[in-house]
Amino acid sequence: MITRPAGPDTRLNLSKTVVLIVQNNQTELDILGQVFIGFGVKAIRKYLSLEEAEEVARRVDFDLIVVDADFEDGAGFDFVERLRRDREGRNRLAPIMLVAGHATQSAIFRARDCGANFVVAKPITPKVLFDRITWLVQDQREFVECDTYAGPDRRRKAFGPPPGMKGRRKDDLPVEVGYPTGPDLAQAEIDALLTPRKAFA
Amino acid sequence: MTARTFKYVNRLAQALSKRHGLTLAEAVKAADTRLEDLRERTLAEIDGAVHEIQTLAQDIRAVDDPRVQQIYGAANRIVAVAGVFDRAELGQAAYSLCELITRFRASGRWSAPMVAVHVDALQVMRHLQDQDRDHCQALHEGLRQVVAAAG
Repeated sequence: MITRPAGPDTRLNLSKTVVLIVQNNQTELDILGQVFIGFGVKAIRKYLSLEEAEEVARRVDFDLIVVDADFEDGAGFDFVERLRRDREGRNRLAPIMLVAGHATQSAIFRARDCGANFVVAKPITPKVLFDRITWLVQDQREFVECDTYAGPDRRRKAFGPPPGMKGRRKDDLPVEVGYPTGPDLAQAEIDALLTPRKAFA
Repeated sequence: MTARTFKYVNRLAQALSKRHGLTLAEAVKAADTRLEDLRERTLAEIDGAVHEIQTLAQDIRAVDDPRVQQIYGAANRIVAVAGVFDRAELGQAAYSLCELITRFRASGRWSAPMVAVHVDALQVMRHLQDQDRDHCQALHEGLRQVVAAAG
């Protein structure tokens, strides 16, 4: 699950972070590069080509990967999917942020399902980027692998499986509550659970 | 179908620091300083994109014209960068144009006047300053109605 650090005093030390940025045009690549330099990142690899980015991702461990969702024909989504599906890959578990401009509904679904940790809407201002990195830093979701998906658990909160469906994860509780195994609690006992001080005052 | 789940080490987690590193305010200030070097160049590119949209849109008659994709691409480039350099209103107008084109594609129709309204709004907003927020708001409301009318 994700716990967002509270307050403006949260500090991020990104000086040892290795970042890969892949964008489909030079201006956005330069903007993101400058923002990361401002954030104190010293090791940045920037690419306009997904093929070149994929090649370097086979050799280098990245702490953060930022991918443009606006490559033609959903190539950015395919790139993320390949990283996640590559069981021997160095960056299979790396935090991945997709950045998207205007998107059709089908592109939004693909962005959700390709395995990125986050999809962030452009424009990526410094404030938005720092905020999302802060989220990523605290991302503790489990990794999920199945026939149709590989990536961080898409559930932000554990509400269990949908009604009428059997959960597919080990920690999913059964939908049926079952019959009680003992007598009902007395009102005083319920009060004690909810507001202990008041109940025993 | 079964799903395999497992915990893993978040490589970025070590970046969270109590004493070292930057707060949000410090990081944004440092990044803004770095971005200043790109401001003029990017604003010039935005101007170019607005001009490109205007030129391309002049004599398009149908949504399957290949130039429609070029307009969409140029508008999406504005969406991506305008807000970084205090032109959020301009970015929203460009987003509205992208949405309009998406709706045209879904319906198969094309309306040159609806596109022209967006082009005009982009040109006006490119040169609006902060004191013209009410003016921008009125323009956005107009664009919203145009997009809604497109289906």
